[in-house]
Amino acid sequence: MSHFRSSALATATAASLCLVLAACSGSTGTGGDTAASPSTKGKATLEFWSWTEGVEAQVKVWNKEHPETQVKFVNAAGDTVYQKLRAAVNAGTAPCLSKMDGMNLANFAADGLLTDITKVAAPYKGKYTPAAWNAVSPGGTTFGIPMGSSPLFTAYRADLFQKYGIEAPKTWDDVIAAGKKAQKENKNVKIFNMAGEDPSTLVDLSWQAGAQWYKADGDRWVVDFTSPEALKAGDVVQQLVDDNLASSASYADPGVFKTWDLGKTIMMTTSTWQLPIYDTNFPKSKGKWQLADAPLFDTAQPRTSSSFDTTGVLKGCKYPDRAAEFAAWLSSSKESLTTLTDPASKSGLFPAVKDVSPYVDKIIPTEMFNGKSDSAEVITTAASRVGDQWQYGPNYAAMYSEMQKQWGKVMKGELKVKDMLASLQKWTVDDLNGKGINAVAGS
Amino acid sequence: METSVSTLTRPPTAATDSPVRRSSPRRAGGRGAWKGLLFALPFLVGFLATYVVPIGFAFNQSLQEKKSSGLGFGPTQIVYTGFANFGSVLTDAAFWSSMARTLCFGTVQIAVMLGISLFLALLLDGVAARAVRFFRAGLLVPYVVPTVVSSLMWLFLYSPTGSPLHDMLARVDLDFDFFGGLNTYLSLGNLLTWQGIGFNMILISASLQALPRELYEAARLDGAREWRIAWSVKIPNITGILVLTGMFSLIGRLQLFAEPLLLRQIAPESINTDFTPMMEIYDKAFKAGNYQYAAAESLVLAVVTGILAFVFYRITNRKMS
Repeated sequence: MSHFRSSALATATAASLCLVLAACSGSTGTGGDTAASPSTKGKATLEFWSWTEGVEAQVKVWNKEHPETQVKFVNAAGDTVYQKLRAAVNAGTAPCLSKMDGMNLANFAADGLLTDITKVAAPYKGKYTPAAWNAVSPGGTTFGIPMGSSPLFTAYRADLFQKYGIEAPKTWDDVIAAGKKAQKENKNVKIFNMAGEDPSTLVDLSWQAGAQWYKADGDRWVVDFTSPEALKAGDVVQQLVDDNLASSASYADPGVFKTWDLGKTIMMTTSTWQLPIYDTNFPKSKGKWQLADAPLFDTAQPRTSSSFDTTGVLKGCKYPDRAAEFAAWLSSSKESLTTLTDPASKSGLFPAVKDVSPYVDKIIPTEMFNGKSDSAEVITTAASRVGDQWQYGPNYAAMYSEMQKQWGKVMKGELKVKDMLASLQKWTVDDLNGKGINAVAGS
Repeated sequence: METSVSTLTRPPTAATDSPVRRSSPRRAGGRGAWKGLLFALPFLVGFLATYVVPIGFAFNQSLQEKKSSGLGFGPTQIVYTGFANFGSVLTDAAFWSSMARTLCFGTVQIAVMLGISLFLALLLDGVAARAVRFFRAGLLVPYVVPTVVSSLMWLFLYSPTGSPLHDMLARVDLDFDFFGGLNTYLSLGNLLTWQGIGFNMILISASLQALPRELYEAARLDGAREWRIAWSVKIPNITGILVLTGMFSLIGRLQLFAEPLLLRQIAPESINTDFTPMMEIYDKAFKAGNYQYAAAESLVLAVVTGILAFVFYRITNRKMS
């Protein structure tokens, strides 16, 4: 169940989904030492939009300790927050800081709505994982500070795996073999789920395979949807479709959790922020799940994917240095992280800092798992394995919407993944060039 | 549900039928004209602010494109590119196929919906006044329920994972897929018909009530039975309202948006992001972030809708006379 995140769900009129989405938020960091002394002088007040539970309390803590830099918290929860934020920037009333996911940070940056904070943010770079820093630095320019990460790993129905005589798959080839075996035992059972509206499965697989759809090379983009790595990822999706090994429950379907809870689909890739949701949504299969490392493409080069939550610094912010300082404190200081990663804060946050070990134990729900595997170790491993090659290009949102259109056809078997990738390759290069951006096809 | 109320208040042809011309001060001449203008002012202000200005703004936007440079992260520039966006829209296969899909689907669905509405209205016309009031109110309920609510209600019924219908079918070892191929259109059509029957029935029914009862008496004297009266007397006398409801429904279908967008949540493979022209425009503007292109698409859709409404009205009017 890759990710509910992202614009894929902008249609979430269903109130239940809003709740789910609200859990998809977070902030993280390390730090504590204020290495960079702010270069702006005097008293300043920064506005900060967020919709992560528990962050408001942290803002109060910060304000008490930093009389010079006061942060005004605005709860911006809602389906249209990114639209509101865009309007605010255009009207000159934007906050200094706002929570945004990695994809939107790239979109905002591409539309010139963010402030370049490469210099003032440099002192905080070392606290975060390289992959997290990539997420706030599209094209090599830093526009924000990482907040949280959602590294992918696997959850599977240990009881059913045993029943069907299969083991937790180590590679994607194993997934396909296990899927076939399980289907031989019970023709109604699927090993995986791929939703028709959500091509993030392909994004994750490509990331894990080491593909780079977008790669900044000097002052141009090398666009490569058809590299051997990208095709390898596409091939896994194709096999799952061709052999009918995956269910097709839409993540927006109100009954989606039943797919796994009733044992129709017996494995999923998942992430930290989703764990707390399962305790309430898996009433029948509670205690029958087990965690494992995400399936790999190359066991010699283990790599997983993630999606990052960030704090972007918006255009017009007068104190970018202090904005960066606050954002880094919020997502990397032990003081802030200890509180935010506590389930009591309901933030659902998993830190994007290099050392996550102090925070892992607390976020693991107790009722969902059978206790036979070391969940903490799986999560720590996943966090350390996030591939740091992945980049969001300046037209990522438009490309994603184009991919979404074709993805439904792939799921229906009307289009081959290979052909979709080839057409995306051409579409992306043409679109970038049309916008006046240098881009070439990589293969 | 866009069927009626929203379109009643804004037929796209209104823009060409400029009220400014009518109240032109020069024609009326003198002081009286100014007074007239003063009376028209509240309307004019509203019309300018909510119609002319937004359309002008959209038109202006549709002539622009957003350009970046270098790696594409940083300041952007808005440049005028003439009718380049319109050129792309005119050759955009996805846009036109969504238009064709919506029209074909709409034609069938509207015919079915109005057929049922007409049938019910005729039935009501034949029964006692007390029963009429009850049925009228009852059949109007689906129309009164907000679109989002009724769409969600059907969404739960259609849901492949959560629907009680699937549970019931599974008990007798059956299964039925509400989406895919023709089923997608049947499911969506059922929802739209359910929403629209009551409202259209009320309009037709009101029109029937207005017919002089003497006509029926005359027909009865000539030996006509009830069904013959309905077919030869009632229906020919209410073609006006049938044309009107047909046109409003057609305009509503071309603007179809909320219902398929919501159903997409459970049937993303069958209802793509470019299923209807409005969904395509929404996707371009708010997902892909290309407001300029979306503005051009909106204007083209408005023009097509206007032309179709005009043609439909002309053809049916000619037939009537």
